[in-house]
Amino acid sequence: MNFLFKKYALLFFLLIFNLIILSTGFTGATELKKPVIVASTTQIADFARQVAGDQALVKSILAPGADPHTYNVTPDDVQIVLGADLCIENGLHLEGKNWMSTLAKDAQKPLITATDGIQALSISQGGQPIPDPHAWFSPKNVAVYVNNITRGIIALDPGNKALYRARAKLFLQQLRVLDAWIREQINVISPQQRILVTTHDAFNYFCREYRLNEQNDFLSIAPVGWSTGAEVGAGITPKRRRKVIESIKASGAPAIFVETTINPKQIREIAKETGVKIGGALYSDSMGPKGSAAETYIGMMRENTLLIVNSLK
Amino acid sequence: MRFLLTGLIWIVFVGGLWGYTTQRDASLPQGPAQPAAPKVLTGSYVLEITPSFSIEKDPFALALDDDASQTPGLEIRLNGRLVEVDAEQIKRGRVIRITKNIELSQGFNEFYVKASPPMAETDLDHGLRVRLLARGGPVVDQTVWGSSGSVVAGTVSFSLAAHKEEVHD
Repeated sequence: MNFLFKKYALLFFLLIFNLIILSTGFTGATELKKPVIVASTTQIADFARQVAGDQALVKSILAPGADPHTYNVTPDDVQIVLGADLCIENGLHLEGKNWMSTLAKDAQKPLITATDGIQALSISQGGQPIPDPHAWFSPKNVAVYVNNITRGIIALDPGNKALYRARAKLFLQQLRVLDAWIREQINVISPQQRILVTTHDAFNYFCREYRLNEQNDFLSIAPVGWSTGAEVGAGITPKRRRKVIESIKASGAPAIFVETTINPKQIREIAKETGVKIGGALYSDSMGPKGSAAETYIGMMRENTLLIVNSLK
Repeated sequence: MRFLLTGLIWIVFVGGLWGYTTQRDASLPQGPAQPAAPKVLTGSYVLEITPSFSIEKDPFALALDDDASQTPGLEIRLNGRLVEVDAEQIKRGRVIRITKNIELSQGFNEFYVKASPPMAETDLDHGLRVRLLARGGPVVDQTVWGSSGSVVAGTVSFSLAAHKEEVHD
């Protein structure tokens, strides 16, 4: 009798348990996994975040201050890309030895080249013309980046197309305002004083767009070559150093600028010899760290412009 | 026998629970009443848009594949719907006349216009004149302005009363 009672009791409790499960009906919202987007640089990650908003998780391989030209991929980066649903690179060989496309290809992840469709400026390396990869220094080019990125994100997650389009439109309008503001700021500098000399010729697009360095065909003037990799290990030769000093003196630049990703020691020494002041540190291949004024693209362009204008006017 | 009994009890309890939740959901309010569709007015309406500037393709426009059909540099919407414009007509100071697909409603109506001026004219203010004509006379006549080269964008709102011979249900 006891046995029968226990058996029925067990059955009864099993039945109640089933009822509880059924009555809850799995009403708790199932957390959908967000798509993961992995960008090579901090700038591209910012563009992707502006478009994706809360619909996706955006990561950057490079940390703020890291140099994309000379970066060496780590096992952690491989893991990050393995978890990605979409990868985005700058292209135009900004990523030295195409490390981002290699990561994406090895992990078999879709890859977007954000600079597709941009009319790249041509620069010379070793006598050979190559495309200048620093296209983001013109907000008009960033509009192309944003269109490419938006297209890619919509293809990844078409269900939220309207949201991505709306965010992209907002960011594009912000870029337009940024462009107009930069023009207004640069206009404060007299044309004769609009000479931008930096450690790394990352600012060709900026000079061309906002008409700086007329004597250099509106391209940036940089003593140490187009890629930081050109000077790694070799250093600047005395002959070249003399040429640099002469060219800075000849340019009449009121100030020269270092960049946050470049070792500023060389440029400080050259500045001392030329008697030209150091205007400050510009953000070039990377945005600023989290919490800084330049942790977004618009912030970076704003701070760079203010530094340039206040040093040259 | 025990299994049959268990199954029967299970069916009674689960079935009862299902019946209760179905009946409860059915008795819930169905949501807000849908607003009545506005009455469409027919008749001869002409929309005139006159830009004070040459409209150029906006380098900061969203230009995805499905944006290709839109007239570059000029966007016109009537009550949320896109109005097509012949790109050939768009010239500085020239009146763009649109007579097709002008579906106005009795009561509140709204035009949204957006145009991008030349990037080289950042020191100028630009305007878009919006006129709606009915039977030759102006129903609405407003100008939307953009300052210092910014995109010219704005809405022109107006109300229309129904005419006896024009009301459609």
